[in-house]
Amino acid sequence: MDVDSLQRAAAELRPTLLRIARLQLRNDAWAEDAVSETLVSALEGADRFGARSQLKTWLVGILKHKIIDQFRRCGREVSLEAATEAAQVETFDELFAPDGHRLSQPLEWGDPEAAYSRVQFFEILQMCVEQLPAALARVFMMREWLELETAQICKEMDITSTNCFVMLHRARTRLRECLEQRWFASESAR
Amino acid sequence: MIFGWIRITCRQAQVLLSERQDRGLGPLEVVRLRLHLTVCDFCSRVARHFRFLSDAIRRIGT
Repeated sequence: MDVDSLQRAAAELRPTLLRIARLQLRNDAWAEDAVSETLVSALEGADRFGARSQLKTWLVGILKHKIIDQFRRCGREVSLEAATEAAQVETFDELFAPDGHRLSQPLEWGDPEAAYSRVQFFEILQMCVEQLPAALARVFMMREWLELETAQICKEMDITSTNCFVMLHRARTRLRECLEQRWFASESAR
Repeated sequence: MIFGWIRITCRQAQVLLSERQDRGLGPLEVVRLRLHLTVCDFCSRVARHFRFLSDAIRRIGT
């Protein structure tokens, strides 16, 4: 692919990349930096890239590395927020009675994979991640989207593994509730 | 009674459901969780939902 057409195609994908970077980094300036660096790297490596249909996958792959670099540069600020979040007294105790039983029953989601064919589903999913506190979203996305090992996340965030597990559990619980309320409850009612 | 220390609450089960995606559970934790899931439909649902959530997140940007 020549540099000119790559530049045009990459520019079209810029808003998509920016949204993904914001979802993970939770800071507009950092997201801008990570995306700009991704596009610079992509243009430098244009000769190594052939098929236009794979462009998005290729760019997202580069973006993942740039996001990790960005976390390293902003380490102190990120770990401070993570420590504050980890120290917060749990609020989703409201889901459970004192004896540990759930107060509300999780719904049956039927065939959830059917949602993959719906663009709106991914809108709702991203909105649910955006609604998480920043530190929870970062840890969760590091684990589930960047697919980093927990030990590496603890190191990058400078938190204990216990805090990391607790934060991941909080994030999953909130996302489960959010998806159920915003998508599956109304989906089944449709 | 053996069930006394094998039985766990829904809250404990859901912590293990999350943590098994991030670390290897110990043998006793595995037994406790399995036993709980065989008798609790709600936690079995949450187990499926957590798995689905991981899979769905990995599809962002693909």
